[in-house]
Amino acid sequence: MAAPLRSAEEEGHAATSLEGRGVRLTVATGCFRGLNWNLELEHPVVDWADAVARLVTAGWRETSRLAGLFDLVSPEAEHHLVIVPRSEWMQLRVSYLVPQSERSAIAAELAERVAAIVRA
Amino acid sequence: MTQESFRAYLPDLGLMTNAGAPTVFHCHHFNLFLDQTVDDALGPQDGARLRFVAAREASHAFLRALCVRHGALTPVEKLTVAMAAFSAMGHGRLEITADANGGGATGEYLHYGYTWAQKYGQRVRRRHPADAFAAGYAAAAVEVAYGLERETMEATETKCVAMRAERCQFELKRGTQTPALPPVREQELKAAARPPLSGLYEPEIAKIVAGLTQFASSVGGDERGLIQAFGVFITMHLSGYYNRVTYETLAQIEKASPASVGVLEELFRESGHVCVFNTFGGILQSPEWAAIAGPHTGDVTQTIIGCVAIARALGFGHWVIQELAPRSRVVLRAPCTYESAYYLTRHGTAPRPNEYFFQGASLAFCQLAYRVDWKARPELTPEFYEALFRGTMPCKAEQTHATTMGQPYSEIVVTQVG
Repeated sequence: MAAPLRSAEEEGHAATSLEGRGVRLTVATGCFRGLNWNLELEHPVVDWADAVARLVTAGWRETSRLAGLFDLVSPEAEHHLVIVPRSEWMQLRVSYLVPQSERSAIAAELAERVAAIVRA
Repeated sequence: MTQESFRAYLPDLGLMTNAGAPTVFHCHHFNLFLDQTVDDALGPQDGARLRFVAAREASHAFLRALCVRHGALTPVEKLTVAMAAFSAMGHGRLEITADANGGGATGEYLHYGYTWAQKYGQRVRRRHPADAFAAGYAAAAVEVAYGLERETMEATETKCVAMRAERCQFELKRGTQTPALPPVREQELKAAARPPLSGLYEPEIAKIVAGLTQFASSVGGDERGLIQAFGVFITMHLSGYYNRVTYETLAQIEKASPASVGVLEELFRESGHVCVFNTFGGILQSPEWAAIAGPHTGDVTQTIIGCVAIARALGFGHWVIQELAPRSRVVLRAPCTYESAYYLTRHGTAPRPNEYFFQGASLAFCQLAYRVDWKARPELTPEFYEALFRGTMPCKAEQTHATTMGQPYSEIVVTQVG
């Protein structure tokens, strides 16, 4: 049976951060236990359309359904990266199929990959 | 044909239908709270029975119309349509193996049981199944599939994940038909609505509603049949279910225990608090909101505008802002709400204002606007909810007009008292 809802702090997700590598990753509010993560880059992205194009070249699939928002699906699994250029907001949404104990590690790996592509 | 094809948004009314059946979006926090309120008032047996009967009735009308629109003719085709719609609307996965004589059904990730287990499972031992809605839906699906008289199939949940079973199981058998009640469909919604209203900040509200309805039109269940969005599990639900359990519970308590009516009304209002805190709060903090309306800064006026827009987009009704004096007085009006259309159709005029969800949600709008530091991106935890909505609140809501009382609009006045 599924585990109960707990706060991100209880689950040890909140501390996950990649500071020092130009990326800051913090768990987003909500009931989804380590699935949604806000991603901040040390250096601002100048051209979001170009950054998205590079993500697509790297295998991410664009599935946006809303003006002003990019919704990209990762090449290997149903992880999503949501980007709102207007507010420079990036949110990673790890697939619910990932076991709870592995979500922060997957989010960190995705964040590093995204940062590398977006910065390139 | 996709499930989405039969969804309709009625912009002048701020209401939604699916295959002509009134529908509304609500999250698991609201759904669990409302069911619990019914069970607390009537007891777990009678509460579950009412919830089953309400689900079966609303689902029968919906599925009959849906199968016609799909052109489904055979029992297998009709059951396939029913099971797909269940998942598309975020209720989980339901496998129905019963025929005209009864049989079984199995549920996985059923919205009620699964989210109850997620929310409470490790702290509370549940002694009664949670999925009366799925039971009613399964019974109705078999009735429609096999051309049985409406509301003649019984379904009992024998195993439930909320009671720590691996999956949910149901037994279906033929029963005795319950009395028919007046139908509440799209045409009844339109007939019950009073003339459209316009209020303050309409251009801003309309722009946000357009963005949200565009987004909502593409929302559907994932592989589990769940809709995971804005930090909550969302369902597209049959509003007839919510309304019948609400107003029949009240009617039963009015007869059996009139002194308890006030408490029950307060709990129905609280369902509005629960909804607004969790779903509206989650929407306001989402990237989707930032794309549609810009990052939410916490400005009081913008919060109220945003909440009214969300209410319309979720299908609660064409709520408008009649007055807005931040931190002093907010007046909301509606020519029709999902509650009023049902009540007027089924019960006629009411002796007192009784749009409890509208009342509770309006008060909660002000709580979110006045008392939440949105810039801090707060966690919408149960503890935060308790801090905002328990004890003495600085806001008071009063329903001063009600279409259910024959008046030309419904109106909630929220004033700051502290």
